[in-house]
Amino acid sequence: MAWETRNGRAYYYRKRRIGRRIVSEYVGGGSVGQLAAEMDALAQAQRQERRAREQAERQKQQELDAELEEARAAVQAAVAATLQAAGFHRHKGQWRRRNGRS
Amino acid sequence: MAGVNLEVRSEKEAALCERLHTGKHSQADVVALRKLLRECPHLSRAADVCAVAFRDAVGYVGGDNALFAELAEDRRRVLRTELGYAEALPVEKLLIDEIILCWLRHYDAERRYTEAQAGRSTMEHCTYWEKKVAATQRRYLRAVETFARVGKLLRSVSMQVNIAEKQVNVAGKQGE
Repeated sequence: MAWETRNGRAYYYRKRRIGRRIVSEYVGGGSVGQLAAEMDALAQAQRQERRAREQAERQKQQELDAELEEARAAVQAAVAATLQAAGFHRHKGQWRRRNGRS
Repeated sequence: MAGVNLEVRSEKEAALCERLHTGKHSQADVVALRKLLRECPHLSRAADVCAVAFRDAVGYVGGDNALFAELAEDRRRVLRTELGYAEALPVEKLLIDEIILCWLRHYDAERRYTEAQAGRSTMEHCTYWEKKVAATQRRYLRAVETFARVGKLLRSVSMQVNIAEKQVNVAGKQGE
């Protein structure tokens, strides 16, 4: 992608973004250009692999969070049932004793 | 019920659990399981969602590291003791388990955030873990607050609790 042909010869250029502009940076032709292109391809592959690994890690976190949320909901349901049985009621998110009841 | 591992005592019970796990069970197996759970109440505890979530979280955080699994289990025992698990009401026991679960998630988030900062992680990943640490901390604090509040409320009233068909009267004083 970054190989450009000038006067019948191929030269390797790196593309960089500076703000809204894409800047082309000359690297070299022949074996120097080839080496730079291979190194860039390797770095890009490593970046993609890292992104995929991070994505998988975040996906696993979501699964664990869902499980934790399920556990929390079950505990909250048990807490609510126990407090109601003990004569409490919920008022604006706060548990309060009913008036005149022990 | 994926991930539920019952503490079986015989090969017969292990075979029964295996059939139930894989879905290759009959109605008689279901009846046998119910009988087993009635006879051994400790088995039903394994189905507790908190216990399952804790096991899964330990497996994820530590991987195959047996040392980590043992240390996490030991920490769980210590936290339970410190929070008065033995004398706690049944609902408080659930809340203690929730606190322990939240502690483990928070510990894992802190560790991964530090790793992300030290390593060559993307900015997006570092930001994700920063937010995750804040979220797990909030969840942990909320669990502790709920435990304290519920304990205070329940101890402020006289309660009749039935444990294993025995009536236990738990009388508390206001503000205890």
